[in-house]
Amino acid sequence: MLPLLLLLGSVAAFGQVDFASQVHPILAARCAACHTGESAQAGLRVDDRAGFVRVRAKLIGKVRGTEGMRMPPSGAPLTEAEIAILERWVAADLPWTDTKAKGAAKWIAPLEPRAVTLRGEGNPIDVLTGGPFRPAVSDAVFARRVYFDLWGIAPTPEQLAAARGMDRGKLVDQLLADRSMFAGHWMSFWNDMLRNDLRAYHGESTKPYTPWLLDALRQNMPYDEMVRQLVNPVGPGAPAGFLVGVNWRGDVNASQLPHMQAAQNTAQVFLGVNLKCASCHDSFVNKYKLRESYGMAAIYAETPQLELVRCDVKTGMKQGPQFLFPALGSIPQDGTLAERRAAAAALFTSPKNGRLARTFVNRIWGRLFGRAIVEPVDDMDAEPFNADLLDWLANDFATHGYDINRLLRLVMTSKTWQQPALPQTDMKFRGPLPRRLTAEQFVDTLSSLTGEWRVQQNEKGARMAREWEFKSTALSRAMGRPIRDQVYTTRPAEASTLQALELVNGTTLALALRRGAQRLTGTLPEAPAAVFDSKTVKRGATPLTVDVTGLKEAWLLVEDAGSYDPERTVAGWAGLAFDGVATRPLQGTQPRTVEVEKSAYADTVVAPFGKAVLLTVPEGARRLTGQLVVDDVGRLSDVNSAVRFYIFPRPPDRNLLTKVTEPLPAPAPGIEKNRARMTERLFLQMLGRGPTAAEKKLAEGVELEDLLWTLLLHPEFQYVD
Amino acid sequence: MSIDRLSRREVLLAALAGAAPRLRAGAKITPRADSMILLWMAGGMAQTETFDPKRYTPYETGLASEKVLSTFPSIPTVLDGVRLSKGLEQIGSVLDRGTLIRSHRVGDLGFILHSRHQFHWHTGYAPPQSVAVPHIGSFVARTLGSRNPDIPAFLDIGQNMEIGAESDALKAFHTAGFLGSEFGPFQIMDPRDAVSVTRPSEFVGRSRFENRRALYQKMLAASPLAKNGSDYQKESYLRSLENAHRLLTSPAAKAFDLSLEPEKSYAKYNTSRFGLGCLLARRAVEAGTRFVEVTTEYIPFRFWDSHENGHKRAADMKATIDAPVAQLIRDLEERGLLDRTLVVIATEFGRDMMTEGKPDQTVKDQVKQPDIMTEPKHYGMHRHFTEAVSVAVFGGGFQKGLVYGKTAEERPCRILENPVKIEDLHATLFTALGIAPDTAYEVEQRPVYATKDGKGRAVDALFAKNV
Repeated sequence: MLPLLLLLGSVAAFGQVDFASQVHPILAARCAACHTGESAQAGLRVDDRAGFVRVRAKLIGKVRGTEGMRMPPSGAPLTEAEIAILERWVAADLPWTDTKAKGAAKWIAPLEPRAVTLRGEGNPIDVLTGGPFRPAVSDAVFARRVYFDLWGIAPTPEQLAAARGMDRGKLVDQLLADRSMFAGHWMSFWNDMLRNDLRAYHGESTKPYTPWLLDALRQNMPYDEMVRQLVNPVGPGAPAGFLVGVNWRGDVNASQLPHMQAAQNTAQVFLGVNLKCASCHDSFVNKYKLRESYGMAAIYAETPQLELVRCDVKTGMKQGPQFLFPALGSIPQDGTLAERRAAAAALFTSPKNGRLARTFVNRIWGRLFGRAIVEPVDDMDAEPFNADLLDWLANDFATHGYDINRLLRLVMTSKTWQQPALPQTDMKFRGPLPRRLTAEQFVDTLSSLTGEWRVQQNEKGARMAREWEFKSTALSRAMGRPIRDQVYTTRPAEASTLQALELVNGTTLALALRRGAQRLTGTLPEAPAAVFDSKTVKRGATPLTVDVTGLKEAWLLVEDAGSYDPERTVAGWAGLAFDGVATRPLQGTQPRTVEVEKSAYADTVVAPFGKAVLLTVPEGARRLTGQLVVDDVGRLSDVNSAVRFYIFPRPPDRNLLTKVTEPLPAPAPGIEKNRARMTERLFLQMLGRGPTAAEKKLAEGVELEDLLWTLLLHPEFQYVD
Repeated sequence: MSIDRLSRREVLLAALAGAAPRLRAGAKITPRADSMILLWMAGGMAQTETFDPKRYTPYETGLASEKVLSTFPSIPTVLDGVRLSKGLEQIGSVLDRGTLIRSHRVGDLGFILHSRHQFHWHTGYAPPQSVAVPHIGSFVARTLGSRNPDIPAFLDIGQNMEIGAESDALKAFHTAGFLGSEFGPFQIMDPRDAVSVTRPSEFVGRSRFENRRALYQKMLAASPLAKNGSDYQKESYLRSLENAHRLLTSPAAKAFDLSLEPEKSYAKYNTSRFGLGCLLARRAVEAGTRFVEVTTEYIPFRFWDSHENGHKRAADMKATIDAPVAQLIRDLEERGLLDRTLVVIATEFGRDMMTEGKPDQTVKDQVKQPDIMTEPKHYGMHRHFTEAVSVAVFGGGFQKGLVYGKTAEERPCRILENPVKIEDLHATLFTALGIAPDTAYEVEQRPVYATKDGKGRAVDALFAKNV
């Protein structure tokens, strides 16, 4: 993609001309390929009005082809409508919207760290924001905030009670100390930013590095060390996937080659610089040039000298590796990839690079307050609303070992952060804004509330896990979890109809509420344990022998275990017999013949995945025998069957086929049959307050599932105030 | 206030306020269409077996693959001298209502991957991209809004999103991307079950659903929030819940209930899930949906994606699409909707028995096709052909009875005249809908255009002259 100019400003009425919406698109689409940058043809640059002033007399003749070589020299001539726009533009004395110069004259973002002298006592953040302060939020509101921001789930009534009157710094320390809960929340922030996800495109596309990231968060790895490893992954277990990016097999535009993606991503994430425009041509919206993007890309490329390609046209010019801020130091021009990356890692994390810390503290501030010190967070050349605040925080962060825990604690213990959250529409800083729960906070809180988590099943058994550990769902995508093909540093906060539909009527949520309510009231039937579990079976015929002594029923179930094409996978139970006497289910399936490796297995029981069929066990039977068969189609590489066979003594619970062998992400809530106490508990945990008398009355006699639904959709639950 | 100080959302809103969604004054074409139905032939529809038939060679054992251009004889259509492949008789009978483009040329992306070409066609941009680009349906929904707020602006019918290894690739373009989920596809996998999306979930039921809503409203009224006042964010959140509720209960929701369709009419569409998807599309457009995609469904190696038995597969697929597509055109016409509804049949690439990708260019990982056919499963268009693709467009102000573009009668059956690239085809469709091809929305301070870089040019010759 080659977007070119800031499209702001209103559309001019007929007869007038609007530069941004009418003229610039023409210049950008038809002229920019040759007329940009220092080597612009004829010295005419589409991002500079002066050149057009110079050629104004000839401009229309040029595009009409009546004045020398017609412009543009390649492709279709400009249309009459386009020429008419240019004519009006010339006639109107070339009005210009100098988008490129926005802010730059007023503000130049410093590169080096800057020490700020504090004039006052107390938390430096409060000194720097300067008050005046309203009374801080209550203990309950504070607890709800810190639980959501550190653990990603709401505090239980017991945790809320414990927080009352407790020293706030101590509470923060307590939550920070549980690294597993902390990482369970913050993984989503990092996954969004670092494009780490459980997805795969055709071919060799991406490399997840979840274990590294999880470990880094758990051990509170210093931020500069994280950056060093991400930019220069060395050895096994290193996060190589970050530089690999997201790739599809086939030809790729020069501006999206893996080394250019790495340039864009490292600049955006670590330096708050958007190089996406400048990967194609000198940027119109910031100061960065094509050469600078290639300088960064050459750090990560197989060979250190890259040919500049401008808007898909090769220029013949070469660019060697160069860090975005050359003042910090240089990269060996003919160094190996390892040497170049190591050199870049040193420059990113150089003590002279104040940008690294500024960018990161700004992100954290944005995350905790709902709006950052510099907005947007990926444009760190923009002016901060409080430069002293940004510079002090950054300097403090860098000089204290890039300690993320310490930074979070510093912000959370400030009066500034403990101000009540106020909705606002202007940009003046008044403290935190109300923040919408993220998809993960929403789902995880519901799970911790009911003890009903999503289940991850593997060969060893089952474990209940937090939302981040799963692929995105329709619900989580509607709630704002991005498809991480690009870097995401903010989530959309807007409510949408599709999202509301998932909340109001989604099956995922409805089922979670049904099971959750049953679990809370102790009425969820216990999932039966399998008497047989084949683990993953890929192909062929596998003999089956199961002890069925004492069983009255045997429920046969086959589940897909990751086939490439589950619809074409055929798996079944052949030659079933109790103590040698052939048997078949009474209903639910028609026996059929399945071919496996030149043998035909007649009378095979085949049921759709997930549909259990019942065998009645004869009185006194001891053994069920047969064959587990996966038909030959499953061997095709485009089917690649993988299935799992189970036998249960009772109807299986598809949500829980194997025993949960690990502790839950958060302790399971106790069973509570008393409705009034349950209402109290739900209000406390979901809204951070008890019910009013009127609310209590409304909740009486309402099905628990409905009350849960009502509170889940309650704005007081959906927002962190 | 400088732009720097605005949040991304505010910048976006500011940009949108200034964007030019409609065609500018002075444009040559008067847009007529206000809705679009995209009938997606997923998996690569062979042009020589459908809309651009070539010399027919019947199967015999020992036949050389290179001798075969079409595996079906051609049939006459309502248009003099215009022939389609056997099996498309009914579409042939309504060809006078539309424009047939035989010279669509899709992207050349190196390896031929279905999902990547589908991404390209559905967004106008080849992945990867540095920003999340929207599906064209989202672009239309964002730009034109809904014709009826009680029904989703963008419906996507017939695609299971969990199809194994390529699921993620499908999800990557079934999205509104940076435009935000408000404009995302409202997905209905099985049209027979469409009514369920307008019904409370199976775990809830209608009366319980209504009771919940009543409880919810009372709870809100009783909460301190009601006393202290809310804010615009929470208000808009509550509004979204109301929208969802309205969608589930409004009369327009009846469009989703195919059981309300007269039996005779239902039967005409009832060839398959795709056929009923066409019926649902018609009902949705009548009710006010802006953009509907109905797909024959992409599942690797199924439906149009034939790597063997291509002849039989093509016959089956034609039987699936022929009657419902023709019925859709007739029904729209009868209701006076065809002129303002664009109906587009398209696919990610064509097929050929010999050429993979573009002629003269060897692509790796070719589909296997023996030089000499020894069994009927070899008989069919098994390779992916990106040089020439057929696209049919009905209604919406397009010419009636036009055949545009021409391909050679002999292999490699190149385009001989009037090639139409994806961006120009899209520009033509957008223009018919009244959306300028360089309409842009801003993300990260850069504009993202309706067509690649805003460069798509509408093909004026495709529009009816009297508009």
